[in-house]
Amino acid sequence: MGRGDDDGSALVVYGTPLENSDELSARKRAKALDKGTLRQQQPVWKQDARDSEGRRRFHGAFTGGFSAGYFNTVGSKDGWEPKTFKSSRGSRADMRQHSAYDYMDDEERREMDSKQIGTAQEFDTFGFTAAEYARREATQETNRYASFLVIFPQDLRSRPAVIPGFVPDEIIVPPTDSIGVKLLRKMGWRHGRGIGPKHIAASSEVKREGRKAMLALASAGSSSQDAGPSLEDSETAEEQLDLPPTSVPDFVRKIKDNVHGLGFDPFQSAPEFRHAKDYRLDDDKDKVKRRTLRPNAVTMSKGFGIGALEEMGDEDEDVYATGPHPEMMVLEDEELERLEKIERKAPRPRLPTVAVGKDALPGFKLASENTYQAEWFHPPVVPPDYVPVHKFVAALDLSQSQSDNTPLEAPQPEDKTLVKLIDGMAILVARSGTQLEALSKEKNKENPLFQFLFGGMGGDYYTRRLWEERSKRGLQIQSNRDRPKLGASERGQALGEMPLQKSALPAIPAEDRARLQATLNNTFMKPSAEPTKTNRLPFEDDPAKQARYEQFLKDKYTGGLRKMNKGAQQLTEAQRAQEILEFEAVAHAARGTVSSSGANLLGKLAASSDRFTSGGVEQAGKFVKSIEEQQSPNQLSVPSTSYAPQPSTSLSYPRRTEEPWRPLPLLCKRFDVLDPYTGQSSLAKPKSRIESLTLATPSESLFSSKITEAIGSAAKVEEVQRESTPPVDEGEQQEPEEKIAEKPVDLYKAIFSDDEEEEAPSQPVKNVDAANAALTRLVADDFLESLGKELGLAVPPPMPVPVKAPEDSSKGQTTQDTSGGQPEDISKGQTTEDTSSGQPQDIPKGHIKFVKPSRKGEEPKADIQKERDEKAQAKDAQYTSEPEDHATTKDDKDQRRSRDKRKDKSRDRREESSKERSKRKRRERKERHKRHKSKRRRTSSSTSSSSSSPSPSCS
Amino acid sequence: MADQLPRREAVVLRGHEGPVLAVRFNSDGNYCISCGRDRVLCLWNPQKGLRIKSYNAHAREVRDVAVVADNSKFCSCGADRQLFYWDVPTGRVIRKFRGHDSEVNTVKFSENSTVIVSGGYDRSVRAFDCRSHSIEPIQVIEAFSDSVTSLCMTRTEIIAGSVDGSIRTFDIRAGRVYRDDLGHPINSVALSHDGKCTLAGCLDSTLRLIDRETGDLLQEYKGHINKSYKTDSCLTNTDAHVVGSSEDGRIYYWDLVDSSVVSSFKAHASAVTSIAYHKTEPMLVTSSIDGTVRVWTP
Repeated sequence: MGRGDDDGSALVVYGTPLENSDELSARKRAKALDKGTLRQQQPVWKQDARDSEGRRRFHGAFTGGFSAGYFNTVGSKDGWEPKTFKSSRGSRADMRQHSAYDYMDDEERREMDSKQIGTAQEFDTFGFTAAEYARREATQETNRYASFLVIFPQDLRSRPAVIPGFVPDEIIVPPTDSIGVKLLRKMGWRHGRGIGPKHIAASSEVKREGRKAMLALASAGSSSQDAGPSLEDSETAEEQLDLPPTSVPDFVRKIKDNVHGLGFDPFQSAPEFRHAKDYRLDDDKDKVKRRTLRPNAVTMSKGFGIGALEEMGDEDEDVYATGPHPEMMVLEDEELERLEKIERKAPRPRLPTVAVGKDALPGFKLASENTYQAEWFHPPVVPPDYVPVHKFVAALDLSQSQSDNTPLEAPQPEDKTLVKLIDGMAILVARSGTQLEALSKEKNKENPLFQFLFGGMGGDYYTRRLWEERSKRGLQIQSNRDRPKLGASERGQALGEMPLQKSALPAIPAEDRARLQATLNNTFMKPSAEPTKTNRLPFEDDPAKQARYEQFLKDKYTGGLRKMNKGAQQLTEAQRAQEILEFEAVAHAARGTVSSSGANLLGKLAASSDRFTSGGVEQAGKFVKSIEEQQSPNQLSVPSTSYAPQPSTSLSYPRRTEEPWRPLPLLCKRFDVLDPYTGQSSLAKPKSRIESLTLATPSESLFSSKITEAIGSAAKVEEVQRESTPPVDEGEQQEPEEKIAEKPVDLYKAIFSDDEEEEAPSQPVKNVDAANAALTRLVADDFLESLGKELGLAVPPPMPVPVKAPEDSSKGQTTQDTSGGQPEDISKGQTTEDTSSGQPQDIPKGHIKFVKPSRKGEEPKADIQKERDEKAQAKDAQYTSEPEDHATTKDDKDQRRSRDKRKDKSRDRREESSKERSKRKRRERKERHKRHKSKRRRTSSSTSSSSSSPSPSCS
Repeated sequence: MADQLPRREAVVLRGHEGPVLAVRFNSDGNYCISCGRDRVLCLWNPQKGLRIKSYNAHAREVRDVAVVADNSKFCSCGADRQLFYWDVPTGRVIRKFRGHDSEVNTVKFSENSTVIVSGGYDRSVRAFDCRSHSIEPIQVIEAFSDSVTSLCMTRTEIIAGSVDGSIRTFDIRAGRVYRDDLGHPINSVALSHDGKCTLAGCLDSTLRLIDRETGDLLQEYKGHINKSYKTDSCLTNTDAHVVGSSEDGRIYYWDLVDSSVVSSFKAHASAVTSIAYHKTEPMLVTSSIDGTVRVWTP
């Protein structure tokens, strides 16, 4: 170790060095072995088989076995070691994207790397990757050597290290220069200098020297001093020119001054012609024949420069010229002279040479010549026989035919087929021109049938027919020209466009369509003048009537007050009415047919007016006839025919009615529409809340009927109550106001909330309507019933004994717990309160349904509770037999009385009708109290005491 | 025009066991979905005739199906009174809406696919919200006096046809309902593509074209038989023709304007239950009691 440190290069070591197995890890050792340095020193028994990577090949029990196991693949003996994931607040685990690389061993990685394509080091122009690579290699190497130095000092010989030990990264500069850089450097380029002719071309002497030196260098091939002369060269250049070092050459595109396509080079394979052209151009412009001086310059491709070893005839040749481009240069004043000289020597007409002008920026000069030349083209030569006015063939034909002598009237040939042929031919020729005639002439030379073309049989007739057809066509053309304009749809048809969307037509209201029809009737046909066979009118045999009908149609759709027709004046009122009805029917029929026949109404309107009106009106005419046939003279109503839709149905259906409808706000929201009823109160829907309740209670049938009754009127409510409990004191019941407030919430509160809450004296006073109370009572009643059903309990089990639901059965307990027990206590609690407050206590317990004015300040829920209690009891009674029912009512009374008793015990005792009943009652009540107490204990002790106190007083 | 009507049988889609009750295109028309009495919904490629997927969850016959605008979901309804909201790729039911009190006849999505609107035998139209998790309807419209057979939607309107012979247009924007009484039980309602007319198929074997603006009867189309079955009618993609299906298995094309039968052909062995016309191309799919879905091209 110490030896290595002293002077590694000079040291010679003999013998086997001591092996420091502690410091030498297996891997490093293996690497050392791989290098071939260690193996020789090992004794044979310590040597083992290694693979090309220097890793141990054989593992196993007797070290002779081959193991393909984990040894060379995964990290540890135990196999792949998963990395533990640790992340704390202090040190966050970095999220790492795992790649296939993470699971590869070195060998595989190398293999993978070898497949990658990269720039070879020598062609890596900018040397980035190479430099990086080299740097990495170097660091690796140094590290490796550093470790080696520690262990094997004798190995220092293999690497000439200036500084023993670790070498800093910065010192190791990788020898990475791309081939391009090398070449450039050989040509005198230096790092940081621009590439280009500027500094070279600037001074010819310097450059010449440099070049010479460079060539010498190149031939000598000494790479060690390659930077020397070029450095000198450029330094001198810089000294003279003070050029800013730019390493990016500014490429200026060649100005395109020809009319060839982009990138097309007409002289690509004939460069001589290019030269010739240049020469000519130069000559034309009366320039110095610069290019002729150096013909080889032209043959050289401009963009690439010359080889470094190429001998140049003209030293001043711009080596890297990229074409005739304006070069901007900053020059020192002292350089001007020289430059001017150069310019004089080789003036380049198209390059604005460097000079200082008056108006130009310092260092710039105005171009002596504008490089932009607008090319002037001569106007095309107009042919002498050109006539600037176009003459249409048809018109010519027409004029021709008109100017022609009309051929004589020729008799038809006897042969009918020939006549047909001639007619057809004439029409065709007239339509398509004389070319067709010539064509068919040529075609049918031998055909005897076509002899008329050559003036044979029927020739006269043919010429006559042809003339006729031509004149006809001419007239047509003329009439076409007279016609102002084509309709849009017809033009579209002519152009082969899609006709207008037919769906647009139904959008025309029926009235409009009929009005259109009416106006069309007026404009396009003169029915009264000449009713042709095709143009039959509804009332053609009575022109006066027809006129009236037309007038009627006009009036019908123009609206306004209807004037009496002139013609109709002599008719009686009845006749007129009948006529109007008739007209209506006809118009309706016409409308129907119009709507059916008017497929492309507008198109046809433009195309042929007479054709258009035919269909509908004809049918209408028929229709009227059929009417008239059927009509008896005095019949007033228009008979319905098979054709016309039945007036009754057609008038009644389809029928449109319109009414307000309220979409719910959520629906509006979902449809992205503003609620049209925003801000308005909801439509009168008193049921809505109750309906929602109905949903909760499955027993709907009975319930809903009760509900409706309850809603109907308070009187009805009372009736309902009477059904359940026979009326006791009519006077005590009060007529409620019919105002239904939403109170199901109270109901639930009453059922499920704590007693405490209800008994709290600070509870806000509520004014509950009697109707509502009744309603909620009903609801509660049914709710409880249904609840019991849902729980699988027979709500009030039919009992032989007129006692309340059995206590022992779990079923009854639940029901009673909810229905009976608790509210009873509440009522008592109430009573105590009442006594304390000193309010009158003469209200019977079971019937506090409607709040008396005196009791308005009372807690309404308690009432509901009582009612519910009452109701439950009544129900029990209902489910039992008749006499039991009676008993219960009595019982009820008892209950009430017992309340009264609390006020006046003695009276109560006197009035008690049946002892055993009251005893039973008491027993029951006690039991209830017990249960209730147990419950109350859980909630509050104070209330329980207060509530339980009156119960002994009862007895 | 008339020769471009789909009359040539391109593909027969077989796979349903029993009557096919409805067939609908998806929103771009590349796929169609059918449902039938076998309680299965099938997704098809009508061009190639491939069955892509089957959806199986209904307890009873499936009567109608509607696809969301982005084709990711659809909704089906049927005799099991529920509305099933499906995910197309996974085939799972996203939600089952508490549907109607009785069989649900028809289902449609609103234009922005946020609301499912259904009509049923319980004489009501119900709207369900796809965005919330509630399975309750957000609105129940009980304006009808008989079963609601067919629905169609515009941006702000719900148009529903009922056996009581009326088409009711519920205009949500205006907060009004327009009732067009046609006097005959309405079997199907379809909108023209310009949205100006309603085509109503009535059970007196007549299709009626109603002007939506005024409620006027624009045209009547007759020739087919439709007296008892639920069938469909629609307009072609160009709105030039009216397509109707007949109980004798024929398909009829009428000229929209002059109501003449342009063409008719025997499409199925028995009654045609549903038809759907491609939105952009001349392509028609029909479904029938005979258990097939057929694709028709010109």
